Amino acid sequence: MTVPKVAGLNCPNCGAAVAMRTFGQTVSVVCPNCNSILDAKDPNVAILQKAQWAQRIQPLIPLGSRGLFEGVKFEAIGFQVRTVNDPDDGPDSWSEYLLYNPIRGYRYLTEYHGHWNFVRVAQAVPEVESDTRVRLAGTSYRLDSAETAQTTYIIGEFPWIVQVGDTADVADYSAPPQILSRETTPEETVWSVGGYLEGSAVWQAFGLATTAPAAQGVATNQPSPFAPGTSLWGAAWKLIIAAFVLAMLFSAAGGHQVFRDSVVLASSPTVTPTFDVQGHESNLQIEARNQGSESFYVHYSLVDQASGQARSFARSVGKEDKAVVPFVKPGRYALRMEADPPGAQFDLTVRRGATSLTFFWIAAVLLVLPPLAQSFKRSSFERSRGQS
Amino acid sequence: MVSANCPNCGAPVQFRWQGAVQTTCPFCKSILVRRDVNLERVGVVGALPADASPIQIATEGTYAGKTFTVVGRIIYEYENGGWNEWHIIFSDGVSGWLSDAQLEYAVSFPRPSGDALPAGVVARGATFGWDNVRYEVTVVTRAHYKGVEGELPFEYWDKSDAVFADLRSSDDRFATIDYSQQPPIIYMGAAVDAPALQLKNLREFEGWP
Repeated sequence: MTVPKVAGLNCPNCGAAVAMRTFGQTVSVVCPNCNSILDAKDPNVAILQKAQWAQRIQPLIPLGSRGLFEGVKFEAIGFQVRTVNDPDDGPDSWSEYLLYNPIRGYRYLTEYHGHWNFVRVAQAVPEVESDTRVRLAGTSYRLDSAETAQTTYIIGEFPWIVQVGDTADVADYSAPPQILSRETTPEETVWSVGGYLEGSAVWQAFGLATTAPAAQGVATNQPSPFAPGTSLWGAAWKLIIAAFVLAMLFSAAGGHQVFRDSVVLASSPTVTPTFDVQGHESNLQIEARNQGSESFYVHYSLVDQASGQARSFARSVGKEDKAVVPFVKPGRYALRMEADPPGAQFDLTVRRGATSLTFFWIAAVLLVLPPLAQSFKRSSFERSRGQS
Repeated sequence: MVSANCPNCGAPVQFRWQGAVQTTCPFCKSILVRRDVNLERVGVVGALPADASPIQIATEGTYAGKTFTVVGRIIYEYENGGWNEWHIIFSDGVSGWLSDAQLEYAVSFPRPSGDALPAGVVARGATFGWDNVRYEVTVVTRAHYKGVEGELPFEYWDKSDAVFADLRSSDDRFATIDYSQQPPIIYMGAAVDAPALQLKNLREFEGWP
């Protein structure tokens, strides 16, 4: 047996025809012509309230539109604007659409500054965890706001009595992408759970030809684009460890000895016999192991025998010292040395291709930059929640 | 199925449930109560309010793995609308209730008596612990009895107002204290999503595929 559409009624204030979209559940319906709120249950259609506003608000989603949410078609049948009056920031409003499906029931679609939520009344009372946290169905929600909201505009129809000027204490808790809201009137406390939707998803659900208004700021329950699992830190740490292992492997594999001698530096400079440096351009490590007990300075000059060019540097030698000369071309070299104070005695070893950790540190810094930038963006996204 | 004739109009009246104490004649809307083997007419159902429930007598569904059939209902109304308490009979003969309150569905069963309730109607915010579950009174509703249809497990026809206290838990379990009987009856149940009930033989709605 098919349930027929309910006959509409005539507005007792202006005489306009008022259609109804539910099958007899509507309690309050607003005349589309004069905006009087009518008692749909009263055979004489009493006027609950005459229009309380001068200016009409056109809802972004026309009433009567049907949209697919979670696989179920719902029809937008009611629209109200609710306003909080902050003593500092002035009035701030959000919109609520009442959605209806004759078998699946009622849902809400809320819109605040271009952010949307698909909402359903909860059948449970959340557990209180603390002053600022409640838990429902295994999820902990954090309190974002608690204010008194006033209904400031109504069109369409509702299965309960609605009037402009109705007030309720409302509190919002978030656990992105979920939002949990509490509404308290003198009669009842109702909890409802919503999931965040972008405007484009709502427009797609309804198949609207227009474009969704851009969202302003970050909503309290907007899912972060930097969701868990997208962090770059894990990958960066792995690469840094890999770079370190690589550096260690190279330093162990390279570093073959090209010259070794026991040196005593008297007051005049000493020059080693020449030695061959082979392979491609890379560094040369000069190691000095002190055979005495006093520390000393050595002035080194690495002299290229072909060009006569020298690279000079000074080192302080305590027990031992390793100096790395980078970018040494293959060729024949000698090392000129002068000690301060004179009389230093040490073992000199020259090694080829010994890896310094400099490149590892450069690599490590570069690898840390992307996750650092991401963390910064993530925390600035979180800080901007609810600051629209 | 047990069959009898309406003592008022003579139409055949069929019982889907052996345990029914009361039913209504589908033709003349007489309220009929079983007295031994006879049916006695105790009243008549007035015009029922426009009904938007997708459920009807003979709707079938599933709850907790058992199938059930809708055999009767009690209709209530309050200032913000109405609801139906559909009387359901499970395949094993157990009687329960499927409520449809503005298309939010719940299945419940009378709780075996023995729980002491405070004298008078409980207040909003009061809590009770039953079977290790904490229930909180979320709303107390004064409803008007609007009518009955079909088979019920008790006589229910001369009512006017009925007070109900709804209690909720931190999950989908709930309880209702029905003050229309003395002593009040506690019903225990759970909110159920429409798809989970696997309802069949529902009414169809014009304009909705």
